[in-house]
Amino acid sequence: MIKRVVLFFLLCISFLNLYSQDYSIEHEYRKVGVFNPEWEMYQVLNPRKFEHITGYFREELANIIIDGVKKKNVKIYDKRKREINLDTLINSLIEFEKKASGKIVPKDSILDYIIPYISEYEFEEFVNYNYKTLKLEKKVKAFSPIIIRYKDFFAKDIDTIKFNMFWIFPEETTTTSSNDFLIPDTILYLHLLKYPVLNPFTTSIFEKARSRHPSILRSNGSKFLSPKEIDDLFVEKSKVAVYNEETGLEEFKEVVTNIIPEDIKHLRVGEVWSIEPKSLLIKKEVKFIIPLLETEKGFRELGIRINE
Amino acid sequence: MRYLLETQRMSRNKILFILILLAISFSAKAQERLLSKKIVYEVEILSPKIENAGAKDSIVYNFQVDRRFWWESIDLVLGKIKNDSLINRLKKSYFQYYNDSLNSKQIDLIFENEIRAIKFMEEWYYNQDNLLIEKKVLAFNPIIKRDSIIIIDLGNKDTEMKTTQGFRFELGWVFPKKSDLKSDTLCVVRNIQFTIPIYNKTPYHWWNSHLEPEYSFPYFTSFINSAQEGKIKVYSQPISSEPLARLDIKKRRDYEVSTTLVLEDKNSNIIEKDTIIKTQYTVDNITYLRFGEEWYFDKNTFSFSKNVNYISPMIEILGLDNELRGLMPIYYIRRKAGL
Repeated sequence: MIKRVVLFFLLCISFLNLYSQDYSIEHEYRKVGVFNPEWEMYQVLNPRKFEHITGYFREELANIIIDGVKKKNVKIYDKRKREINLDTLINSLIEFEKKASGKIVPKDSILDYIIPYISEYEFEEFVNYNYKTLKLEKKVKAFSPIIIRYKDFFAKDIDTIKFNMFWIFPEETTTTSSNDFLIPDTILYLHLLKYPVLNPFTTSIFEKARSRHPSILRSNGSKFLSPKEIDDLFVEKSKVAVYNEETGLEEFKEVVTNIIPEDIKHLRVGEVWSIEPKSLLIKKEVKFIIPLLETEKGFRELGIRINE
Repeated sequence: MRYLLETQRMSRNKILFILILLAISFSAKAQERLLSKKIVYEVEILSPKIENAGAKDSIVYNFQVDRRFWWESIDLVLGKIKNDSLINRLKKSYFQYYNDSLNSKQIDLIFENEIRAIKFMEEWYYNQDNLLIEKKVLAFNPIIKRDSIIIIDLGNKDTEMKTTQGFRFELGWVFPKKSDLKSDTLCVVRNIQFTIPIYNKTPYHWWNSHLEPEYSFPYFTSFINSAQEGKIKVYSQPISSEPLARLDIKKRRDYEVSTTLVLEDKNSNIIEKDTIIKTQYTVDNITYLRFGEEWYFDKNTFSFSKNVNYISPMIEILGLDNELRGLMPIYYIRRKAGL
């Protein structure tokens, strides 16, 4: 009888655990820019376009990928995962370059020629959202280098032509190779939170911040000095014009509204990448996340940073 | 003897366990109520959006599902159903619409890139306790769709650009193999949100985007009552962290309508008075349903299965002039606790 009660109790616990999972693994797509002309030319960090890798590492990353493709260390595919051969790729690159710049680049040099123009990568990846630790763990399933040709860097609206070169689905390796090429730059990008991960993740951020968890820091990485400093982050103060019937004048009054977890729909994520030269597997390690509020003027940092 | 006793005890335990399982499944079945024996409706897989690129406006399509797993699923389906008869039907339909013929390369490209919607034929049940709808997909029909841009004149020299449906070709109904065993499934989408009408104004085809009031009215009455009595938690958005308070639930049903009252004065003169009346939405006003769903495709049986993440009945918002302003979700119920 006792055995049966214990068994029933264990069954109940496992059933409850199933419904209160601490994590969720999502299959996601994202494009991350690695060349930001505004940053290169004016050293201005535009909050809507802050993705960047410094020149040397950007070019080395592209070099490693193109070298692997040239040596046929990896297979290349189109977006529907149909294998394409090197000649097809070369021909389409020549065609693209002809359209973009009017130049006819010879077959034997086109792959080296386009390296500086690889300015963005599209990823297909699994993201593990851990609601308990607020860790984001990524596993890249596939990626595609993208060539971007800016028509004019100084134009008001920067007009671009883009070309997804090919897709690579790297073979999984379990070991960390000492030959991995590490990019020391922290790559920043805008991460959209969606249903079903948005609410459990942001609620957990709020709970952790309110309980003064050590992983919660100011946006700049320093520690909070007082509990009130954290509490103040979760309210938004604004001024509204109110008509005073007695004086007949318009007066400004301060309105305080609470910021709630579902107001956070974006994160700024800082991560470092490395690439395994043989398999071309790109590994990503998330270093920190910064919750963002979307306002009429753009994104505003909530004021906290979570170190991973 | 001891062995015999042990065996008897074990078989007794087994019977007890089976009985518990049967009781659980029976009680789950007892909570299930029929909402529709057959309903057919359409969902966009790729939604059109007008993009301004310099001097030219073009339509770009955004995936509403996980593109990799959608491609994998639809390619498997096409592998089975793409034959000469289907291709000839497509060619004929294309010629009728464009007065132009298609070559084999163009046909391949259309199948590859232009299946942009899907129709489902389903059976719907709901759980009496949590009121969530359970869907059983009976068949599906992939649809090739093209859109074009139209300019709408808003008056005062104002115009608005909108997309409108152009060429359309339904591939045909696919009835999957009947099997409850799902061995190799693809998660086509974790959450797709769409809104569908639920009352067909010409209900000869009683299944076409149509729920029969005999089933739907008790469901929506139960939905509203359970929310107001606090029996189910309802939310203003699917991502809300807190459920709505009872007072807010009641408030969301209030609306004002302008009407002309015909009155008689002391001298028996008829007077017409424009008056604003405060009233409440009822089940009669619920004409649409919004769903958030998770879809799976089974590679062996070619069947879709769905989990409803959230639902909201939708009402048509009318202005004081009784003109339609748009649709409003009354409130959402959702699947997982803590979401």
